[in-house]
Amino acid sequence: MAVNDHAKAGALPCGTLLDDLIAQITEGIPPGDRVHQATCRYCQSALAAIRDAWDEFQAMARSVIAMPEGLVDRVMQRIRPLMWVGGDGVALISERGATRIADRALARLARAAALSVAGVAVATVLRSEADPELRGAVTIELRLVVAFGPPVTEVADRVRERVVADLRSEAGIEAARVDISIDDVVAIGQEF
Amino acid sequence: MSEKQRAYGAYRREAVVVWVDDEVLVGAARAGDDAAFSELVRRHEARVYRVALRMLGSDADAQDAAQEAFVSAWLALARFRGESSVATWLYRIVTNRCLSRLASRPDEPLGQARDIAVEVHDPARLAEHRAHADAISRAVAALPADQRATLVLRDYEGLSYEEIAVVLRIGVGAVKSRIHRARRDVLKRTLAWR
Repeated sequence: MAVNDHAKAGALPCGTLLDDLIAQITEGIPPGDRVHQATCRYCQSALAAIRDAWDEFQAMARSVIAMPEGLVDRVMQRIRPLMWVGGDGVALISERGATRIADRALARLARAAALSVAGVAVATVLRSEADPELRGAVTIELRLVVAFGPPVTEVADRVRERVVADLRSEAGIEAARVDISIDDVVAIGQEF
Repeated sequence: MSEKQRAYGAYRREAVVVWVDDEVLVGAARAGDDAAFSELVRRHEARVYRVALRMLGSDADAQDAAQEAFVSAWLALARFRGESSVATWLYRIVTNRCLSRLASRPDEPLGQARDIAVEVHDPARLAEHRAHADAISRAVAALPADQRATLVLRDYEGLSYEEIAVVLRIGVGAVKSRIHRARRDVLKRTLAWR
């Protein structure tokens, strides 16, 4: 009988269970009877076949899968309509109507304003939300990575001024607070 | 350009390559920064797609499930507390997505993931190799979904028992016994089908 017949039967002619031999290869569980295994031709040929199949399985599991093109874009297309969810934005109310500006739009404006300041390498907006006390005003929380060179507090001040000015001129919104944390300082052009 | 450098590409300014931690990107995405979220998708799309492909068997289903998983992640951003890594969190989301898809179509046979492992140049060996790879694919596809998930996370994705326990919300002991059973059944079927 060949190994595939034994696999169907579950046991070898010598009485050894195929499950035990498989556990020996895949989980490293030692055999119950080493002496028998070393001299039994059924055990030896079954072990060889299991080892081959296990090696093939592992090689297959490690094989590289080609990524489909454009997955990121398709995900983002599905997410953009959802962006109003999870944030109220800010409403500017006048006698002639209300204008609502999404948190996303505020975050984008604030990020662009921060990035336009020299010495800012990366800007992420952690929070942009309507100020609970001041109508039509928002608080912004920014994290920055800045370049070596100018003092970081000066860069932070310039970012704060620019964010306030841009939100005022581009959205008609007052930024009541702009909290900035500097995450890191990097050399421009440096690669990690 | 190395894989790592490419990974930062979308989230940098000219001439600056900076690593921003996943957790910072999650915080930014939560605040509405979609560029941060798209960088997260770029970083993790490969693992999310791979798990979906291995679980569902067809490229079309895997792409659908991967997209759904990222949409769920977007909607769940507020609930991400940083107790596990972003990768572990996404593994959990995509695995659950696949398990519920499979539960809603229990009798539909799995397609076969196109797994061709190693390069084989000898034509006779190639045919044999294909037959073996085919037997392994079928054996993996024949596993119950929860066992397949455990096997995919361990042997395909290389997660530790502890990480898998977090992803599947089961005990480490249960992870070990599922992996043991899954490997045993795959090898048995592979050998029987040769």
